[in-house]
This record gives sequence, C-alpha cells and structure tokens, in this order.
Amino acid sequence: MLKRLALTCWLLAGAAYAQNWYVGAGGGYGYAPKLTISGVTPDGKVGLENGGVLGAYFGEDTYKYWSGEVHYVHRWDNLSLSSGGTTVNFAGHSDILHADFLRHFAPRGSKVRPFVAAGGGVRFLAGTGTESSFQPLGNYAALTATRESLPLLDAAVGVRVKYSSGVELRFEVRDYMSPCPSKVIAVAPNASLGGWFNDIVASGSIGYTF
Amino acid sequence: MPFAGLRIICAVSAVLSLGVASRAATFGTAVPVRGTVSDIALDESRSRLYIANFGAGRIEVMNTADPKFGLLTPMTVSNPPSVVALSPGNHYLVVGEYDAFNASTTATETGGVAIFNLDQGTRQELVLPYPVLSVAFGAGNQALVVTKGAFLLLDPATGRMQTLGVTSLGGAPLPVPVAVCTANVFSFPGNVVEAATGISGDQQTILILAEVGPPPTGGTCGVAAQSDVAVLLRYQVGSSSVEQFTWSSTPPLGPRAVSVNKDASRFVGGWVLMDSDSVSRAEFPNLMTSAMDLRKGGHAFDYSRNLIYADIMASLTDAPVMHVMDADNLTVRQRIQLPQMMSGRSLFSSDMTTVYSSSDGGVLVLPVASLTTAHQLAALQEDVVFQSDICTRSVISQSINLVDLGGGNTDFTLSLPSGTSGIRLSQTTGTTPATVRIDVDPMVFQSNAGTTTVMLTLTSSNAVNIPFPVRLLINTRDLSQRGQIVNVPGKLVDILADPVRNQVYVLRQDKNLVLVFDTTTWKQIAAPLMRTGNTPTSMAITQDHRYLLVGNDHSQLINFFDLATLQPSAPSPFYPSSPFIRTDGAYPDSVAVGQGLGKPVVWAAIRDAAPPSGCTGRIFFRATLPTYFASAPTSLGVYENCYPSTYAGTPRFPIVSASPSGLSVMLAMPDGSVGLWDGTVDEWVVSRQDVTTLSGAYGALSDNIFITDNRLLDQSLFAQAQLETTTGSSSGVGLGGSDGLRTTTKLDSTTGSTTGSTTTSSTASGPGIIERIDFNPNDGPYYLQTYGGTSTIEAPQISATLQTTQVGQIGQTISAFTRTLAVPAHQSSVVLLSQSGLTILPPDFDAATKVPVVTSVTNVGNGSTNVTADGQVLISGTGLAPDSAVAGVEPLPSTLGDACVTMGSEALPLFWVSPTQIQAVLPADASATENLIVHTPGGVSSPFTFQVQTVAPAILPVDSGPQAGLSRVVRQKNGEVVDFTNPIHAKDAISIYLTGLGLTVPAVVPGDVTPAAPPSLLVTPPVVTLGGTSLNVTFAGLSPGEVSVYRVDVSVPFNIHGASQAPLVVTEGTASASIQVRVVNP
Repeated sequence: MLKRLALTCWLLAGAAYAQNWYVGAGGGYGYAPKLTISGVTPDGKVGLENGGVLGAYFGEDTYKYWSGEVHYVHRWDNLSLSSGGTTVNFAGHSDILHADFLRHFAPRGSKVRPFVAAGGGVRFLAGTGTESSFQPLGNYAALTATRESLPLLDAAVGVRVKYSSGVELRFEVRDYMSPCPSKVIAVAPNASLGGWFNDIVASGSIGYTF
Repeated sequence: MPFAGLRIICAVSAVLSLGVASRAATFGTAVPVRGTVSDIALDESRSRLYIANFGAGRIEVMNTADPKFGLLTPMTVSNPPSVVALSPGNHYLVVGEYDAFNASTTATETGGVAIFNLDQGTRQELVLPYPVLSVAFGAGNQALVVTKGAFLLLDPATGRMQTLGVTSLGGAPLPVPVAVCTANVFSFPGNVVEAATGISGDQQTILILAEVGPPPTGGTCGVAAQSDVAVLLRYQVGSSSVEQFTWSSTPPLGPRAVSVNKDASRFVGGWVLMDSDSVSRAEFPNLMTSAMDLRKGGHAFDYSRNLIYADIMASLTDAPVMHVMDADNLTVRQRIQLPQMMSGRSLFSSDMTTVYSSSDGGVLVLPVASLTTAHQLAALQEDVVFQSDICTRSVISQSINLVDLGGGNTDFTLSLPSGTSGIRLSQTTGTTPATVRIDVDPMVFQSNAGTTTVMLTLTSSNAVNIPFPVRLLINTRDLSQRGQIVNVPGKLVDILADPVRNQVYVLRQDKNLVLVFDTTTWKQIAAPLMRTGNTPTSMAITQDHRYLLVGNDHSQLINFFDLATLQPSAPSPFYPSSPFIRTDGAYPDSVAVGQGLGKPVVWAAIRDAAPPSGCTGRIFFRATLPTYFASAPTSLGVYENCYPSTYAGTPRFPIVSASPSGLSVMLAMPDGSVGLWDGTVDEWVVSRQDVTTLSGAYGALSDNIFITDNRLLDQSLFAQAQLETTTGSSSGVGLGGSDGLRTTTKLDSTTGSTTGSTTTSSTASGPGIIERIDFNPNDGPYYLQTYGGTSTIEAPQISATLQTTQVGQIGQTISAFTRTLAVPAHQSSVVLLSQSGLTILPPDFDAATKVPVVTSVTNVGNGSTNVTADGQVLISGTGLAPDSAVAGVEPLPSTLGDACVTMGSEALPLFWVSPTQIQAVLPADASATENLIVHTPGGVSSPFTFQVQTVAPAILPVDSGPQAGLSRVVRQKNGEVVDFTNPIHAKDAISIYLTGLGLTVPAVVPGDVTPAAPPSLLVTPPVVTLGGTSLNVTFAGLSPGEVSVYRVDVSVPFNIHGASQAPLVVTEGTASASIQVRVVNP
C-alpha cells in the first residue's frame, strides 16, 4: 500500500510542472470477462458484471507529445457467480483511482490528437449485496458484503478532438487490470481462482483546457 | 328375568251387530288424594279431572285450570268407584262401581253404574249383578261396560243397557277375573287392577286388558302370581265388532294399563308393545320376576312425538322413574324422575301437551310438552378414551362437555367410584354449560396392560333426569401389544363382517341398533340408522349376501335389513311394512341362515315363552325363506326340539352359527350340548354332549371345522383338539387366510360380582391374546394347535366383561357365548369387539419384529459420548423402532412410532425415532452411571450403561432444511446460519445453540417447551471467544419456544480480525465446544 501511494504522489507532482492544464468528465460502459473457478466440477465463472462508469480526470500536456493525468472512475460492477445454469448475482461497485502517461501522435495544439496511455492505481471493490447462508454455488465462492482494495494497471487508446477554444472531446478504450479479490469474492476452500481481472471500459468525455 | 315370555294362546273374533336413593328435582306435579285412585277421566271443556277414589268411595274433582290442581267438591256414588269414563262431548260421566265388601263370596259380589249428566247436574244409579271392571267411550255415544259377568253397551242418555252376546265370544263368560282379596279394604281387589282400558287417539278402538282364569297361583293381594292368563278385547266403535286375544305371560302383564296410539296400530299392554297384528314388537326388558304388582307402574303413548312414557318397576323398591322411550322398539332416551309412581291409567290432554296419570298417591300431572325445556343434565360424550403406554409418564387430559338439554343452566356434581385414584377432575361441581377437564395419571393404571373402565357419575339437584354416566376408558399398553382402538360407545354384543362389501356390522344392544363401519376408514357409516327389536342379541347374513338378520331377546321377531341400502327390508312376499319374521311365543336369541336343499333356512335358537306340555322349552324356531312366520319344528330330525324334562340348567342362550357355505349350522348350548344341521339333507344329523359346560367363542369355520369354547370339532362334532387355555377365556374365532384365528381374555378375579339380579361388571386382566390355529395337516404336531400368540391393545369382550349393572328399562341379555372377531372382506384387517369398542389389527399382526439392541448413546451436538442431564442424545443400535417417526407436537412424546426409551422409572422425551437411531432428551436428574432401555413391539432391549457428565457442551446441528447438519450458529442480522457464504462480521450479534450446558434457573422439565418468561438462565454463563477474542455474552440459557436447547447470544467487537477460518469456542466450566467460522472485517 505504501508503494502505491508513493507512485500516486509522484504522478501528481509531475503534473504540477505542466503549462497546459486540462480537466474533463465523462461516462462509458465497462465489460469484464469472467474468470474461471476450477477445482469444482463443473467449472464456475465469477467476476464483475458489465456496467456503466462515470469518471473525471485532471492532467497536463507537459510536452509536445506527452501528457500526464489522474483519473477517478466509479464503476457499477455487480458481482456474478455462475455454474451449470445457476447464476448468483450480488450487488457491488468499484471506485478506481489511477494515474497515466499519455503519448500523443499529434503535437500539442492539433485539432485531433490520437494517443495511447498506460498507468496504474488502485481499485476499491465493495460487495453490497445481502449475504445468505443459502447462497447457491457456495461450494465455488462466497460473494461477501465487504470491501477490499486491489492494485490496478491500466492501458488505453483514444483520441482527443479540439471542439472549440479550450473545449475538447475525448474518446477512449481502457483496460483496467487487477488481481482477483479474496474477500469480496472468497473462493471456497476446495476451489481455486487465478489470474487478473480485465475490466474494459469504453468512454467518452468532454474536457476543458486552461 | 329368566324365562319370561308372552304368547298368544288363541285369537277369536266376533262381530256383533247392534248399533330410592336421595332424590333431587322431579318432573311434574303430584296431586295427593285421600284414598286410593282406581281410574281417571279428563273433562277439558270444564277443566276438570274426575278421579275415581276407590278407597273413599267417591269421585274427586280436580281443577286442571288451577295452577295448584286443587280438588273441588267431590261427587258421591253409592259404591266404591272402580272406573270412570266421559262420553263424547263431555255430557255424561259414567262411573263403574264395585261392591264386593259385603259379599261373603265372589258369587254375591255386585256392582253398578252411576251416570252423571254434567250438563244438567243430575245423577242416575243403575244396579248390576256384577262388579264393573271397565267403562269406556269411544267415538260413539254408548259406553262399553265390562263387568265380571257381562259385556254391556250403555246408553247414558237413557240408562238403557244392552248385553252383548257373550256366548259368541267362545262360550265362556267374559271376562272372568279373579278376586284374590275379596274383603281386603287395604288393597285393591285383584280384578279391579287386573282390568285396564285404553282408547286409541282417534276414539275408534277400545282395548281392554283383563285377567281370565284359571286364577294365577302364588300371588298375594294386589300382587299377581308369577304367571297368568289375560284377555285382550279389541272393540271397534264404528263396527261394534269385538276381537279377543288370550295371552299367557310370565310374569303377568303388568302394570295393568293399556296405552294406544292414534289408530290403534300400536299399543302397550302391560309390559308389551304390540302392533295391530298382535306381534310383540318390543317388551320392557327389566321386570319383577318373582311377583308383578299389577297396580304399580304405568305408561302413556305419545303418538304425536312417537314416544312412550313408562314407569315400569324392576323391583318393588324402585324409585318412580319415567322412561322416555322410542315408540318402535322401546329404546330408552331419557330417564325422568317423578314425584310419585305412575299407577294405572294415563290420559293425554287433547293438545298432547300434558299427561294426567293416576299414581300410587293420587294423580300426576306431567307437562310432557315442556320436557324439552326442563332441566336435564347430560354429557355430550358417552365415552372418553385415554391412551397411554408403558412409557407415558405425563398426565393425559381430556374434556367432557356438560349441558342442560333443556337449554338452561343446571347444577351438576361429578363423582368417581370410591377409592378411585389417578383421575382428577378440574371441577366436581358447577353449572352447565361447562367443560370439565379430566386428568389421568397413566402411571396409576400401568399395572394393567390393557383398558381400565371407570364410570363417571353425573348428578344434579335441579335436573329432572337421571343422567347417563360417562365411561372413562384408560388404556395403558406395552408396546408389544398390537392394534388400534376405535372407540364405539355402548354395549356391543355381536359383530359380523360383510362377505362382499367393505363393511362390518356391530350390534349395539343398549340402543337397539346395528352400527355399520367402513372397513377402509373405520368410520361409522352415519345414516340411516338400522333399528332392531328390543335387546338385539345376534346377527346373521343370508347366503346371497343381500340381507342382514337380527335376533332379539325382548321382541318376538327377527329383523331384516337390506345390506345394499342399509334399510329395513325383506325379500318378497314379506310385508313391506313389516320387514321381519314373526316368532310368536319365542324370542330369537341367536340366528343363522343355512342352505337347506337349495333354499335359505333361518334357524333361530330361542328363549321359549310358551313351552308345550312336557317340554321345558323348545330350542329352535325355523323359517324357510321367503316367509313371514317362523315356528317351532316338532322335531329336529331324529331329535326332539325340546329341552328334556331332566334338563338341569336354564334353557336359554343356545347359539347357532352357519358355515360359510351355509350347508352346516352348528348349535351349542351352555350345558355342553352341541348339534349339527346338514343342509344337504335339511336335517339335524348330530347331537351330543361330551362336556358339561360350554361358553365363549363359537363359529362354524367350514363344513367340517367347528369351534365352541376351546374345543375344535369335526363334522361329527367330535373334539379333534383342545385349544390352549392358559391365555384365558375364549372370546372370538374366525378365519384368517388358511389359518384360523382365535382371541382370548383373562378376567381380573378381584372384580365382578352378582348380587341378586344385579350384576356388576367384570374387567379384563391385562391385554387379550390373538393367535392363529394351524389348519394345515402337513404341519405334524402343530396341526390344530395355536401359534403366533400376540397381545392386543386391549382385551376382547367376553360374557363376563359385557355384563354391567342394569339401568332401568335398558335391555341387557348377555349370552355365555360370544362372537367378537371378524375378518372384513378382502382380508385387509382383523377386527375385534373389545372393551373400548373395536380393536383393529393388521392381517399380519404376528409379524416378527426385531428385539431392540442399543450400541451407543452420544451427544447430538458432536457425536461424542460426553452427554449430560437434560441434554440431547443420539441413541444408536438396531431394531430401535419399527419405522421412522418424528414428533409432531410439543411437548415431546415419550412414545413415538411404537418405540420408547426409559431410564429407571423415567421415560425420555423423543424427537424422532428410526430403526437405527433415536434422538432423545436425558432426564434432568441423570448423573454418573445410568442404564437406558428401549421398548418396541419387538421387545425390550438389554440395559445400556453409559456415563453422564455434569456439563458437556456441544453446538447443535441444524436438524432440517438445506442447512441440515451445519452447526447452529446464527447471525441475528439475517437469522441465518453462519457458514462460508454467511460469515460473521464485525459488530454482528450471534446466537449459538447448544446442548449440555448444565443447570438453569428456573429449571424446565425435559421434553417441555421452554417458556419465554421467566427466562431459564444458566447458573454459570459460558465464556465465548472468536479467534481468540472474547465476546460479550448477552444471553445464556434455554432457548424459549424450544425443547432442551440452550442458546448463547454474543456480540462481535468492531475490531475482530478477519479470517477465513477462526475458532468460535464456548467454554462451560472445564468443557468446551468449538467450530471454525469465517470472519470478515469490515
């Protein structure tokens, strides 16, 4: 946890030196492929359900082709567990905070600026559903009403389009990658769950440069 | 009443052309008369009742409009008035006189008639050479006057009399009464009381019952001898025709009163209810046998309600009691206490609301229409059954409902026989309506592994009736006793299974009914009622399975019922209105239907009312169907139809039984005689007496196997085998599959007694036995022997247990022989007549069952052998119960699924039982080394020894539902069991359910539901930790609403450490219980 906070502070410090600041906000929709729970026959699937996102960002076009920015994203991501035709849903959401570097493919000031981005942050995952000792598929995993924070890496591709003086539109696709949760989604003792969650979010936003 | 009977000697008709105990409330008003009342006449137009005061020699006049029924100025007559009669329109009062007091012999007796013109206030006296015995008006204007020497018609307007041609009545001067006390002023002359008159409601028929010669012997003044001959004259007013019937009866036909219905189709003469065909439809069953006092007693025929009100003495000391009886068969509905005994004539008011009856102290005024609103105490239940077993320790409670049949409120007092213990009444006195709880402590009765009968007596100071008692039937059985009880109140004396229908017929003697039960549900088929004659004794079914026949001991007829409709019916050409066979002069106690040369032959073993000369009594009446009459064959093949003059016993209660084919009918008599009728030749072919007594079970199981008592007879009635007698007296026999079936009952020798004519009941000692009889000749030494003996839940009836104290005019005729076993069609069960009604057994009643064996006693919570008092245990083994069963209601039963568990004198409450496991609660006082025993129908286990700890906590599992087997630790937030998907959270409140935590205050009886208030708290609260962190205990005690379950409530701190597996530990004293739970924080 300490390392994650240090990274975040460094990114913010870098932004403070920039000359072209911008902020923006937008929304989108996330798609998260399910992971496989093995060790129980048949295999089960667990993960986040698709859902909407809302977010905001703040950054600086520090260099001609490089930018740095910080994002906050709220993701409505109910939990889902399924196997053999049975599906268990459990209310949940995530709050994501991450910082990215952007490499544009057009110089600062261009009307259209495609870019790629990469960075990292933290995902605060919360299960908010109603627990039950009668939860189906309890031999796969328990969906639990608790919270846990997960490290997160992300990568994105997008484009920034200048709409008018100071106003720009932005479209991007981003993949949030984090390790499997262990508390909100607690895998049953005889089951196993490995790998990272990918949460692919397509979003659009509007920004203002000042 | 041995050998009582009635017969018609002859019938001649002629047509003459002319023109005790302390008494409480009583019903009605007694109007005392200074003198002796011999007759009454009612003048409703003047509100007067004219009372012939024989002793004072005058006519008393009672004002019926006076609420106190005061007597007015009497009317004087010249001679003692023996009878009075009013003409139609109430113009004339005719008084018959009897002047015999100055006569030295009966030949000089004289009489007369006084005619009062009530309109003009004049009187006319006529002198007659003979005392007047009867005067009666019908609808005509002439009075029928019967004297000792003549039969006259009197015109009261003119005073002219016309002598009827007595020679046309057979040449004998009629009537010919006998005066046995010619000069005794302190008693009635016999020929006054020995003549009585009744008039039909339509006034068209006058019936006169009078004594005729030869004089009875052995009587005293006013008291007739043991038998006599009486004549019944039927005078038809419209046609002026007279019919005469002469009767011989034992005892004499008393009380000397005649009560007639509206059209004279039925009347009661003395103690007989007859119809217009002179068939004895029913007779009062309990009469004085040594001497009938003709002056005492009386009756009234209420044809508007189809009732008969009768006060009939069974002994000279009887208190006055009016029986309210059904008019078809004299079934007693109620017994009403009277202030005085009815004595002679009774008259109805024209609106049928009031009966005026001469009494032994004057006159009774009985407002019978208001009887339905008079205080009458009754219990709505005839029987109350308490069922328990060897393991039942708790009190069994049932309730009875006491009501006032008059719709009001009346006081009541309940009492049990002195010395009764183990029965407690919630109240012994009170006011109706009331529900009285009866608590029975089964442990008091467990020495009798059967049914104990205790009579609960009801009395009231305000009720006018004598309430029927309630029978408390307390069944305590060992689990090895088989069968189920179907309670059927009443005296059940015979049972027959329908060969083709799912029906069983049961004869209820005290109510004169055939009860029909559905053998698939064992519910009584409600309607219609199959009413028999009086005191039915036996049944038979015709070979075509269409008709049920019923023999009666106080009716001279055999009832017929159509089994398809359960209605009275008989094969053509029987009279549709008379679905019975007449047995004039005989009471058909036992009936059987055989097939004689292809025709149905009814054999009735009778009680003979009219033995012919030289014969102590005939044995049989016979009827070849279809016919309306049965009669006594002069001979039975080569044998006489007669008890020999040397017959030592009382010639009654022979029984007959037909084989299934109908080709054989067996006769058995209490003196040991047996006989056999062969239907292929229609003759009695065997008669022999190899023993001196026979009683108990009887049956013709086939054409060559017969059973009487314990003797198994072949087709020559030779005793091929003697069945065992160690199990008691034989009760019933039957066929079950290829074997025979037999039941036996042992009597409790300490009960039962006979005092005079009163017999108190005898009770069975313990259960009865049902056993099979081996009919397979290939079975060597077992052939014709009994096997498979099995105890029944209660004892089958035998003659001694059917005998109860006689109650008024409720019939009781119990044969020495009993038929108490029936196998319904399709052999789906075996049914017995038993103490509480019916006992239903499966056809494999003797199927082998395992003897229970206990192998372990463990804690339900953790499976260890650490168990505690009041703790839940799991008893494992084999044969622990016949089947699985779960307790349905709380408190927990001590017997479940025919299994129970005892420790010392205590029975364990049971949650559930199965053949291999039983979950139970240990007694609260269990400690150290204990022995446990399991009881089942298969027997009793050997004692299993185990140790009981002071505390042995164990978390209980969930015992049902999808979480069954999980430890019962519940999150109060959602009320669900803690598990992997429902983990404990910080700040949760948790309930832990356990067993074996030890003493609580206040204590709760094991097996009982823990009350919510006051809470039953642990004396020493436990310590609870979660992952090593102590939890705050908020409650520790027995869980309210549950049975023997401890609950410990704890709260989880906010800083609890999350863990996928954390130990939750409950420590009580030095012992602890723990489970692993998942903890989440936050």
